[in-house]
Amino acid sequence: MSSKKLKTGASHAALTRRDLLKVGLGGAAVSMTGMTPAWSRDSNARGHIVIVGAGAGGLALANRLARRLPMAEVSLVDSKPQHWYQPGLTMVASGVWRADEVISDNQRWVPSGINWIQARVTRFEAEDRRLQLDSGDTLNYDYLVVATGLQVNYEDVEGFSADMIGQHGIGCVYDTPDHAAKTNQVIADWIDSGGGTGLFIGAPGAVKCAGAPLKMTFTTLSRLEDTGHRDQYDVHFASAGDRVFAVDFYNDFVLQRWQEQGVERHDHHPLRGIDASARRAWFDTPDGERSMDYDFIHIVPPMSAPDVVRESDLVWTDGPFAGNWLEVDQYTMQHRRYPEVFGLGDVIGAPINKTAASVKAQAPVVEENLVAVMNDREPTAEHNGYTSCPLITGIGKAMLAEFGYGNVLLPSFPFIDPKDESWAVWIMKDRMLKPAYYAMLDGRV
Amino acid sequence: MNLMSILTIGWYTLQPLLWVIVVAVALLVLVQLLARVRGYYFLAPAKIVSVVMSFMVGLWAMVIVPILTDSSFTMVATGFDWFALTLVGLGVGAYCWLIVHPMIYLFRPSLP
Repeated sequence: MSSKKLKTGASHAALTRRDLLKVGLGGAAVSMTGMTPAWSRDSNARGHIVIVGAGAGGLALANRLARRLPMAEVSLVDSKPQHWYQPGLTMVASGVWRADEVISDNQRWVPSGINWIQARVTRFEAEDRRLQLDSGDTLNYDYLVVATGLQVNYEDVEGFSADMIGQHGIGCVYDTPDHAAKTNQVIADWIDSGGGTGLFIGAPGAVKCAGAPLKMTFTTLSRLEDTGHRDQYDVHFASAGDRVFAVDFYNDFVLQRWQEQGVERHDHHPLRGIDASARRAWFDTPDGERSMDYDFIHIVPPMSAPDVVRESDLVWTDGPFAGNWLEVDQYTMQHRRYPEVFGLGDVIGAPINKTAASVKAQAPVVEENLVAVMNDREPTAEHNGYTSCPLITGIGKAMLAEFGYGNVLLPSFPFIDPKDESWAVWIMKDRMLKPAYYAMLDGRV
Repeated sequence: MNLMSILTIGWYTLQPLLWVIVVAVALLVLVQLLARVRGYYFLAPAKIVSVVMSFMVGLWAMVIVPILTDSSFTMVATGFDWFALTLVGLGVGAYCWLIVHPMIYLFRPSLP
């Protein structure tokens, strides 16, 4: 095992024009209001913090810590050169956005003053506070934040693999801009064929953006209705259980709307596998195996924490998340057995919370509690489970579903009724949320 | 959400539209300066056409903006939707008036 010590010192790159602008804006804001914002509070806490994962959670926290902990050493571990704005993938797969609109360079979001290690973690050694990297290096830490995101387990659907997306009428909005663009193309091809059967699969369990399968169904219905020949297309939706959304109101709304739109629903139809060349899907229903033929299928594969987390000591060992998701206290985001470890984003085992909006709410909690632990205090900040889904109910309109643990509605805007379809909410999805997301990556929201 | 958050989100929101904003502001400043050099003032008498034209442009904006946002006028449904769209119409109409009013003054048959 290599014991080569990685360079973890801060690399103080020159200030960019963007940095200067933000410093200027920040200074002006502070002087105008006289307030001391949370992000400017200093902390003299020391230690080596390693953040694994440069996705939404990792970058948001890295930017917050870079400002908050000037005396600490922060390392960010991820090999990805690109950042994907994943909430935009449904817009790409619906033909509203181009794929390149969700892609940016990760370098753009990595703050100066932290050490970006472009490698993958191959093993978590929690007892020894150590990581093994695919470069052969070993990385020791005092504090660890696991923000790896999740992995899409394509192979858990028999006969399916990721390279089939875009062929044989198979779509899958998840995971990459390329998948989303190919999904848009196969939907367009199906529509151009003039008729046939579209089969949409519901979430098989905990998945990121659990509303995405519904959004794909709604936007495809919009496209079908725009042809003027909606009656030539059959649309089916197969759910693993008897619900399509966690919150009762939205569940009932979607089911009612689909009934009006002629969507045929199939409850208790978990997808077992497909025969891609025959365009046939198999389901394990309570009445036994059932098959359905399709011309287009939108598949939602099972998802889990990445294998490197699942195979580590950090994974849940009992309960509904056992063996699949990172074990944390769902309120403090602190690992339940390793107090120096925190989790953030899609990787954690929690009842809901696999959205960018969840990351927005979790990052300040992790920041506060990590700083508390570094200062030998109890972590007191709590995440209320906030998550948000701009539920697209057609191309051009959406509902703003915001809720937390217990599926309690947590609306942010008093002037937007969370139970109304709205053009304004669509604009938020289409134009406002990406800027808000980028501000979150900057650690400003 | 603090002021810094709002400023940052606003900055990222406006970034793709910066060239539009720059052109619009430049046009406004240019027309206003030219007209004021020649004696124009804010409430200078002008033909009713400036008001009618601004009103029509504002209405046109209310129809076209939903389309520009990948939606359509038929999707405007809630009270807040109408409030937001009305603000858009008023804003575009007011901008149009600030351009058209001095231009009509500039091009009227006889300058004072």
